[in-house]
Amino acid sequence: MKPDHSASRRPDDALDSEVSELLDKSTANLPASITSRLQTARSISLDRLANRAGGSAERFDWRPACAALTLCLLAVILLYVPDRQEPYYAESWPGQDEYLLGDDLSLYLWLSESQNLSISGDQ
Amino acid sequence: MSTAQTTAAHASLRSELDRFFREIQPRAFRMLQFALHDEQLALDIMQDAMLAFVRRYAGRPETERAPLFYRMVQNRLRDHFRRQRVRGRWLNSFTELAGRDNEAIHALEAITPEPQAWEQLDTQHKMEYLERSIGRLGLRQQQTFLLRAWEGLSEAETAAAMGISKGSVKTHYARARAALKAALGMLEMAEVK
Repeated sequence: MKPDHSASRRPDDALDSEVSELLDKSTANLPASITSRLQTARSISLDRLANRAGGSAERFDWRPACAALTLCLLAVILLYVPDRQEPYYAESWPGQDEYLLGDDLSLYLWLSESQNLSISGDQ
Repeated sequence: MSTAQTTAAHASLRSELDRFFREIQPRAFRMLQFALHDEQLALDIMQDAMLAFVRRYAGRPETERAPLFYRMVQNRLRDHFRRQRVRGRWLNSFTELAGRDNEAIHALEAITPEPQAWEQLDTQHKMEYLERSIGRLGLRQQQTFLLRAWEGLSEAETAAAMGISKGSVKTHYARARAALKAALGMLEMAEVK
């Protein structure tokens, strides 16, 4: 039976009706070899549908595996990436040796001197 | 969804598709046969289209199935003629198949009405003559006519199936009808009606 597309189908006329009728008649008497091939094609296609459905039921779920793999990769990156270097700061400065009063004070004195500042601030 | 529900849904889909294929297969096969003039090739393309349909559109609603199936068929048909044309270009630029897809084929000229009146032919002769006339139409005219007049697809569905515009469907359909009317000697009859 043909699908009903009557709602959208162009109104029949003599030519369409007669042609359809004749083609239906000639198609109803397809040779047995063709019918058999069509039957085989149908079976193969429907078997493929079954395989597809079966396959999807038993298909391995990759999502947890992907998540675990990502976590492992992150851990490896965090563990094996070389330690970051300490931020650079000057451990010595010109004139450090002249001031042995302690790090902070000697630095202050050096800075003051380099900027012509007096420690007493009376200039 | 439980396993029992999945199995039931699958069995129902299988039965629906089986019914769908049973209905559509003979007509789709004949359409391919008209286009290809080769039974085995028509069967091969049909099989390929069915497998592709099951793989991609098996779960689509029933109303969408026929246009989608014919789209699969028409795509394969077009690919076949494209390959033939490329091959033909190298082998022989005037092969018969190279010209099959060319809309410059004037179907009206290709069909030469036989002297005997349509009304006087018996059914067997009518069928043979009709098949010959349809087989001589340009590919697009032929397929548009068969999809519209025989399969009963709407203009929009035919356009979707063939990958052309609705305007082109109208044009091809009208030209095919004109060519067939001329070929079948029904012109006067249709005008009288």
